[in-house]
Amino acid sequence: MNFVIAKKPANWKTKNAYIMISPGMLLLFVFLVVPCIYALYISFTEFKSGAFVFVGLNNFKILLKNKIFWVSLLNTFYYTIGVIIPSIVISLFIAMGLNRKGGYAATLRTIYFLPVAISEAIAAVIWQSVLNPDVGIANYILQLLHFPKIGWYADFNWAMPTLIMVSLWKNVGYYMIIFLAGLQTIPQEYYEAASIDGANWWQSFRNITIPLLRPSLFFVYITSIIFSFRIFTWIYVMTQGGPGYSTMVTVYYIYREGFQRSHFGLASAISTILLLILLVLIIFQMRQFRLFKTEEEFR
Amino acid sequence: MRGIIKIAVLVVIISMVMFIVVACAPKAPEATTTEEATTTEEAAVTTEEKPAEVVTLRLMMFPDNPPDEEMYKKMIDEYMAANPNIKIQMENVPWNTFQEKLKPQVIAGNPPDIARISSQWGTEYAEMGELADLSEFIDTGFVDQFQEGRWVTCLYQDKPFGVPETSIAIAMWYNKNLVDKAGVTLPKSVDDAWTWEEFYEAAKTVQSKGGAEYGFAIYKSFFPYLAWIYSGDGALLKDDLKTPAINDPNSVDAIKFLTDMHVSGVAPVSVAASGDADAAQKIFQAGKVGFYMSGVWLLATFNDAIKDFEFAATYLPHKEGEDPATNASGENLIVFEKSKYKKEAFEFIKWFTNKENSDKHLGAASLLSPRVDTNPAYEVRPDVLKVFAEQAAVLKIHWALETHVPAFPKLIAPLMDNMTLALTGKLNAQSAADNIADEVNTVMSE
Repeated sequence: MNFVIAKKPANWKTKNAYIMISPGMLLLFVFLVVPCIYALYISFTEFKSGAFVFVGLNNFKILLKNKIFWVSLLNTFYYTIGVIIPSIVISLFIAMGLNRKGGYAATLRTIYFLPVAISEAIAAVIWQSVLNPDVGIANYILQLLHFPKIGWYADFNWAMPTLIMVSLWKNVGYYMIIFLAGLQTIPQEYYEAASIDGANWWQSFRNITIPLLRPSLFFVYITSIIFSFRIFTWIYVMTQGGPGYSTMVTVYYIYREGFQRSHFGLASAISTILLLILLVLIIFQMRQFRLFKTEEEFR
Repeated sequence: MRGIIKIAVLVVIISMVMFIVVACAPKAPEATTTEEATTTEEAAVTTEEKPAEVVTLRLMMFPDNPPDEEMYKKMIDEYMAANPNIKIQMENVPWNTFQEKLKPQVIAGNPPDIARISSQWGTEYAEMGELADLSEFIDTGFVDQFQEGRWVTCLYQDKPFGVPETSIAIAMWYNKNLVDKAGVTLPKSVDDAWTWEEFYEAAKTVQSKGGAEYGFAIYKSFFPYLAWIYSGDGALLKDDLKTPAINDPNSVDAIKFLTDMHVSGVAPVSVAASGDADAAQKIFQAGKVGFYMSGVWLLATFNDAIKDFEFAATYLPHKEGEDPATNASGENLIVFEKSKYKKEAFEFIKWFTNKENSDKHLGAASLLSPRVDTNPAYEVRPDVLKVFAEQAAVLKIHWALETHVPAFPKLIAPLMDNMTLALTGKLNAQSAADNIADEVNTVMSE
């Protein structure tokens, strides 16, 4: 079974197809492409006394020497790596465990999916309260069990792991659903045949599940990279980029420079750089997953 | 069938284009009323020539507390009833997101007519040319109604762009149960206020004998941080309002003392490190803190939320040999230059801030008044408000001016970053102050 991206729709009427997608494309153009182009222009300006003044590459030069910018990039990668790998592993294994009919599987699937249904802002407020170092229930329980209190999001060392933990709680259910859908497309006969041939669980997983789940894996991988790079609400509610700069990520730094300090040009320059980094990452990953190959090349 | 689909798609495309064009079009100029205002006791705006067209004013505000919000609504209804041709649309935005909502509107050219802002935000908009010069509407003697320290925050290049509406001050809340249990005697007046050392001892006593988990906590904001620095005769800026004073010895001493209180465990490091600005308030409300340095706006909140212990307010400590100090500012009502109804907007503001209405509003909302003839009939804890009013009275003009420079909003983030690093012991006070000073120099040169 080959999973390829068709390079050209062979038997569609191309003109009709373009007409059909044009309303959506128009919306995308007006509300996405045009603002992006305008943001790119703003990245070459500085906001002074109510007007945008052209300053060329000055904002990018400032960023090269800006310590907080580099810290924010490092923190973004720290968070991304900390979230992606556990996201994929945990959600895949939960999906595999719940890929069955009857019993408690349906109830458990719902329970795992519930955090996805809560808005991120509300979830952040709830966790901020639960993990409050002084009056939160988490530390209350730890102290009842004779463990020391943890600073959670108010501790320099624990702040980023805390954010990773709450992000995993929020997102695992969503990725679980994606993997469940992928697992249900794998014919059971493959596993039965492998079992007859003497394959153990790990061999079946490695040689059947993983290859046939590749599109789902790719989707989860790419979306979790994008979501991780975009992290904002957790930081805004729980840490404000602190303590110190331990959770200062790039998107929050864009917000801070743009909205709090009116450095709109600098903020746009940072977002331009972030976009370029994301594009490079995604294109690289797409090549790794060999999704650019046509069916002929794949054979 | 294909033809029908094509027509349907074309209709959808045309509809969407029209929608986008209408949504993005600039606002059509509204008909202006021709009028000569005659001012009555209630400041009703009338027209002479023909029935006045309805003037709609957009008022964007943040409430200090629920009674404040209710009073706003009540008073707006009262004004509209007295002035049938004036419609006021109030937009209520929480304080912590207010600037994020207002600034994009201003830059996009669509500001409200009137905004209630914290006083340190106004000059940034004034420097951008976005605020109306209200000189033409202000009568002789109008300015004399307001405290000088509050009126100066409504000026840009000596031209008024707003009117002071409230005053807020920082003082010291305390948990009476814990303080009484510890046997600590409080100062009786602002002139009798503790020195830093006396306060430190009192806080430690409340912690050890009163049963408090922490003797002291400070609201995580530039507002009380600067108040503490002022209490040591320090400042953020020198008298020229451009050169940093934050790394001068007095300012550094203040930061160091505050840091010592945190690092020694008398004050919670977790609050200084937290991204939750209300962290200190939460542990005070939970009854775990003896003294809590924060502002008068919390009175109505504490009155509703605190049921397990008695709370009250006392005076801020100061460095030995220095004067008592506080940070006091407040909210101002400003009018935007792009408003088509500046006169009507000012008439509403003038009515809203007159003595009778100011006393009524601030009495119910438990807020201090910026007026010299103030006498609100406070419904809740007048004893507490008396302490805050006495504390506010020690304000020096320089402290009001330095948080009023147009660049001040850009200095808040680096100030908070470095204060966090200092109070958590990650950076010494001098280095933190030097970092802030560097940012001051950078921002002032922009």
